[in-house]
Amino acid sequence: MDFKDYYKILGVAPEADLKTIKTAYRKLARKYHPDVSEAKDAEAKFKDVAEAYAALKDPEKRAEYDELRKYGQDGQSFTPPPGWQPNGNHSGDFSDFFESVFGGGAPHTQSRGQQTQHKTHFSFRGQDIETELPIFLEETLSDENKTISYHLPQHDKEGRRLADINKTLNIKIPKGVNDGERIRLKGQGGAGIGNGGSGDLYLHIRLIPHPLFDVEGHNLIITVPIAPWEAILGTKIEVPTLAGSINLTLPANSQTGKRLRVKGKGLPGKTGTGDLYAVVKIVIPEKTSEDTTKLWETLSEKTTFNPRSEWSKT
Amino acid sequence: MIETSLTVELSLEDICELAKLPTEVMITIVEEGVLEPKGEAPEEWCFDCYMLSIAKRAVRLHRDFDIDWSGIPLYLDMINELEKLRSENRTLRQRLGRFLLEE
Repeated sequence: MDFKDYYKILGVAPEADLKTIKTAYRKLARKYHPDVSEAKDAEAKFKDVAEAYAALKDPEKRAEYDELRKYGQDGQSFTPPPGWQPNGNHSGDFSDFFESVFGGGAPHTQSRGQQTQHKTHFSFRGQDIETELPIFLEETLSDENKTISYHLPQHDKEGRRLADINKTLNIKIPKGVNDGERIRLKGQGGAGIGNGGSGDLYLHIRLIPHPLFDVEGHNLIITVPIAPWEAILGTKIEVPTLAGSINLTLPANSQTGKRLRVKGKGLPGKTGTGDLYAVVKIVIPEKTSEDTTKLWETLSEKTTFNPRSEWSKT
Repeated sequence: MIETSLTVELSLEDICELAKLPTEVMITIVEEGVLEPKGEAPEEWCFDCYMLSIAKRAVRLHRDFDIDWSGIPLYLDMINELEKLRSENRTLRQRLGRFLLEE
C-alpha cells in the first residue's frame, strides 16, 4: 500500500486553512467530476480528490493524518506505525490507504450515508456496477448473444474490501438498442453481505464508430464517392448496407451533398426501422492522362457554366 | 442465459433501495422536479431505469458540489445539453471528416 499525500493531491500547502482546501477541492471537482469531465482518467482522479477532501475537511481526521504524514512519503510504500488504531467510522469507496488510516468502512454506498448495522454483523446490499458496453452497429440488427467480462468487488463478512474478481457473463443484447441506453442485469453486481441482496449490473451501450456508416438517431448515412461524369450522366451504384448490398439509381445531375433515401435500411428501433441515406460526394481521379486532359480542355472551352455565379451577385 | 431488460418499473421503495437514499430525500427529489415519476401519490409512483441513473447523478452532484436539491434540475439539464452537444459534435466531425482531405 502506497502513502497518499492528500495535500499534494489537492495542490495545497500542508498548513493551508480549511477555506483554501475547500476552494482547491471545488476547483478540482469541477475539472474531474465524472458527470461533467471528458478527461480519460477523470473518475480515478476525482476519487483521489474526494478522498483527500474527506480526510482534510474534518479537523479530527486531518490531525490524525498529519500525525501519520510524518512517517510516510507520497507514492512510497506505507505501513501504519505499530499500535496505530484507526478510530473513525466512515463509509465510502475510498482507498486501502484511507481505510488503514481512518478505519475500515463499509463497502461502497452511493450516498456515503445510511447503513444498516446490527449488533454483531452488517447487512449490506451488494454494490451496483456500471460498465460501458461498446457494440458494433451490426450487433443491433437482431438479438445478439455476447460474452462480457467485468471487475466485481468482493468483501469479507466484516465488510473489508478484498481483491476484485473478474466475472464473465453470457448475455443477450436486445435488438434495436441505441447509443446511451442502459441495460439492467438484476443481481449480477457485487454480492451482498449478511442478509443484503446482490447489487445489479448496468451496461451502458456505446455504439462503436463504423468505417462506412454514420448514425443519426436510427438513420444511417453513407457517403458515396462518384466520378464527375457519373454525377452529370447518372448511373447505377452498388451501395453496401449493414446487411448485404443494394443497387441504387443515381439520377443525372447529382450534386455533392445530394441525399438519396433508402427506406428501412437503417437501424432497428422501438418505433420502427430507420432509413439509410446515401450522400453523394464527387471525387476526381488522382492522375489524369494526356488524352483525358484534352477532353477536359474541350469541355472547359464549350461550357458556359460558372460555378461561382452566386459570388457575382453581391 | 441471463435475462436482460431495457424497461424496468420501480416503486418508490425499489428506487430508494437501489439509489441508497432515504424515502424522505427521494420525495424531496421528486418534489423539486428532479424526477417525474408516473402516478400521483408517492405510493403510486412508478420510476424507470433511466430515472434511477438520474437519481444517482443527482445524489452525486448534491454530495460532491453541495448543490441544493432545488438547483439540481438546472444542473441536470445543463449536463444533458452538454452531453447532447458533445455527441452531436462527435457525429458531425466524423461526417465532415469524410468530405475534408488531410493537408
